[in-house]
Amino acid sequence: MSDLVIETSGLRKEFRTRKGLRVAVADLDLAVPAGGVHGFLGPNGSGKTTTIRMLLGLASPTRGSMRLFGQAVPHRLPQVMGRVGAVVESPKFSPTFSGRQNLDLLARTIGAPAARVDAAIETVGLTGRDRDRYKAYSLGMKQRLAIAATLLKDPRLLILDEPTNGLDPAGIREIRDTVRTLGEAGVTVLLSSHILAEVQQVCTSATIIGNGRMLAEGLVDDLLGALTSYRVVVDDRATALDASTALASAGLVVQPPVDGSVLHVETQRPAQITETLAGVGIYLSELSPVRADLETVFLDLTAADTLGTGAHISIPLADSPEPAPEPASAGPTLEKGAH
Amino acid sequence: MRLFTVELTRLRWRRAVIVLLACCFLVPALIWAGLAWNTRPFSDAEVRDAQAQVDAQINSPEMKHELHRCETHPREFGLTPSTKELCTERIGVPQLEWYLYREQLDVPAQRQETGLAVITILAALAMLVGTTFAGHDWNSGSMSNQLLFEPRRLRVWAAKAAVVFLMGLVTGAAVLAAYWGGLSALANARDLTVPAHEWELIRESAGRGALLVALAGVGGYALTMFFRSTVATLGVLFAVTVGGTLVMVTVLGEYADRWLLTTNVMAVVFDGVEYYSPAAPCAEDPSMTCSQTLTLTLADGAAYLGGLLAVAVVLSLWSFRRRDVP
Repeated sequence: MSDLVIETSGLRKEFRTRKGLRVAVADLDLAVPAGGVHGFLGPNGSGKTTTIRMLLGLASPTRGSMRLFGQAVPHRLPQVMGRVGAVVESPKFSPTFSGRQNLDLLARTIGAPAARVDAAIETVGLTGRDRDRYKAYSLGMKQRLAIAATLLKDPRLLILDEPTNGLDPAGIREIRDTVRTLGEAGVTVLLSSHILAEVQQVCTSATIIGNGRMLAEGLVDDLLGALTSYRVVVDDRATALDASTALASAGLVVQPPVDGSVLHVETQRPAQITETLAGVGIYLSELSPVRADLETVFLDLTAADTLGTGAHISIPLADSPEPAPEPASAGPTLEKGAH
Repeated sequence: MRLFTVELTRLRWRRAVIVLLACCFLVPALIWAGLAWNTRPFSDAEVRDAQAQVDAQINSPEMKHELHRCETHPREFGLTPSTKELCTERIGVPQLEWYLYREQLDVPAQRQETGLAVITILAALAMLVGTTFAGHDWNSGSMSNQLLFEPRRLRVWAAKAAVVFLMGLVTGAAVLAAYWGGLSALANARDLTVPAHEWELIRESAGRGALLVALAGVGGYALTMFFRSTVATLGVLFAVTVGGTLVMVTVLGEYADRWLLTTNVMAVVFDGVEYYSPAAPCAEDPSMTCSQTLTLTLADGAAYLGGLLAVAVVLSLWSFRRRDVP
């Protein structure tokens, strides 16, 4: 059996609209290994939710295949659904029932004991408000209830689509901690988000999609490194100009020095810089990597996708990924329609 | 079974369903009360008042004169010989019942009057229950959440349909039993005797009526699962019942009766019904009046209604199984 918890191959979803055929997901090959938190990143309308809905049997693919826990879905979905907890888009419950009534019905559907409802309510901090009508809940409370619903199953795979939407800062931190803890406990979490800092903080690996197509996948650390540029310092401006010409001739992307003796060179092989420059008799004063944050990676990839250059980076997933280091501050988010 | 009990609980917890179920009991109760009031026995005061009016008419000089003339010259009144009774009848001497014109309770006749009305109302309410039950799941979006816990869509559809059917059947049977039980009690209280074979007909009608109510609920549910909206379903139901009838009458003209919903419902409830048709053969004897009616049998009516339900169910199942769930 495959050690991939989620696997899609050539997954495609087309919608017929008044303006013609719209491709929401285009031949997506997604691979999420067991354990850890996997980010699913993309701008709004990039096909994240559609992909998730297809995985969960709520939408049918136009073509392609999908597997959850090695079982072909949607045909074998009933066999694996008991191990899958999911929040898709906004929480969807019966507004006239209380939070507890909504959970009761779902728990009874899968034959879960009533005690699990109590535990789930307590876990998400809804104790005391659980008998209020769902429609009286704030957006954050609705989100908590949706997460409580996923916990009714004791899932081995958690698919969360924008789980921190509408939560206050404390709630966001709580959910992120919960997600991280679940990932460390062996639960595989697929975290769909457009909040870049969230993915960078919580996820061990990530897939970035745009316009329904895979743009990049791999460990978050490696994704960040994949587009790392290098800061090259030479003796003076004249040498910098010579170095810029030499590196460009070698096929590297170079930002020419505007002033001073500093160049920025994009490459995944820093040795290529030293080798090229040594070949023309230029020796470096300093060579240091400039680490990109996920925002830079994301914007580069999605911009390239929009321009049609079709950048696609694939980095092998490690067996035991380590979480990416947390940035000092919360990163930017993509606003609706950004791309 | 587990899914069935879950859906039964969901149905019970819906306030709109509770209100509609309350209406299922309340409206027939009002019909019963109205019937009981409108057919109440005449009070002594009413009889005395009527008698006084009759006496006043009989004792009027004109009436006495006419009676006397009839008895003495019966030929002028077309009577030979005459008696007081014959003259009273011929010249129309007022009778007590002329002044006591309120209709009295006729239990067997109610089968085709208020009995049919109760079944029709129950069917409409059951249809609304089925519609609002499914419509709420779609309107709130909770259907997708339910499918995350039970992805076998046919099972979900069937469990919901089963509770709607059961609710309709139990409610229909209970209300109709209560209604006819109430009429029976009323008849007993008024010393009216209803022949046993009439009760047999009533029982059969009520049984088929309860089944009709249950299937109407399933029909409303199936259509809502297809249209995925309470409002759209109600619009279509209105269009079919009102617009469809108008279109049928316009297109088929005098031949429309056979295909009208009401005719077929009556055929099922009454175990056959006569309907007007120009195609009906007339008796060869020209002295006999040609009624130009045909009989629509129970089987015909059931096939018609069953066909409509089957179309709704097939469309609904196909749609729920194949279409993406929002």
